[in-house]
Amino acid sequence: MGKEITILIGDEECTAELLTEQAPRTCKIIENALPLTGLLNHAKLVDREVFFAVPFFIDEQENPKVSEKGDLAFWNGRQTLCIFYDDMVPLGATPTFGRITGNLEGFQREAAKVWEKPGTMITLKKKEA
Amino acid sequence: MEKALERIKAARKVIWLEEPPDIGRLRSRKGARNQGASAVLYAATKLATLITFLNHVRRVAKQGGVDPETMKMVTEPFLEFHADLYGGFYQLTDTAEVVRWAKEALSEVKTLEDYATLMGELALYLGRVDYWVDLEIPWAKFGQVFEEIAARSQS
Repeated sequence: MGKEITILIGDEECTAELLTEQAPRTCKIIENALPLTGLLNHAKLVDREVFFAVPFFIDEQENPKVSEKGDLAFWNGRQTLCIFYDDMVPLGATPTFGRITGNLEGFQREAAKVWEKPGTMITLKKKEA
Repeated sequence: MEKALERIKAARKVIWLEEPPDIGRLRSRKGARNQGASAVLYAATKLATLITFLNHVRRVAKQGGVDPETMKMVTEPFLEFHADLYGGFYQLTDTAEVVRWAKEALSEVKTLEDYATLMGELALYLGRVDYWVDLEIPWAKFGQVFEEIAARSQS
């Protein structure tokens, strides 16, 4: 089990696991950057994906995989953190560093609203002990 | 170059969670038939073009084996062209200014590492601006109307 982080989205609090075995260097960069706050946009080609900009590069493409519901991925084409919140058809393999393990339903409720009303605030932070 | 990097970084931090004044100006920009959609859509595409370029040349510079002076020669007019577009066509005047800071700082770039750092910093700034512009596009309604028009044209 990798390290856990907290995700705040709208009124919901969720838990995600960092995939420290599969993507150790990416997870380290993300962990060191916490807390990360942004405003969510909704993906346009992939359904049920939200994303936000992050202020750093991760040049290494660790753990590229075809995204699944709950995955957290980093797209370095645009320094963007992507969260796939439900079943969808991804565009291809994306470097994946985490997955939502707690309250995915709450995340889905908030993320689904982003299509109609983008700009929801999201924060990724270290999980309090 | 350090001064330009600091200025771009500071500008990026200001707009990270606070809507940039440029967005208000873009919102009031009217195009053909007094509508604003084309200005917003075109601004998004022109920002994306430069961001893609910056990420590409940054990657090339990180790989090495190229001459920094050639990279600078290719980059400078591309930045100037886009600064003109942003400020002149879309009223993104602050964004245009930041692009010009980077363009002017190119003259101080000596190494590929310097070049990659400068292009990266500008990409981070523009990436944030572009996602602000994206929020201005009513994608849900736009998609719905597009489908309705497409269906009508087929019937």
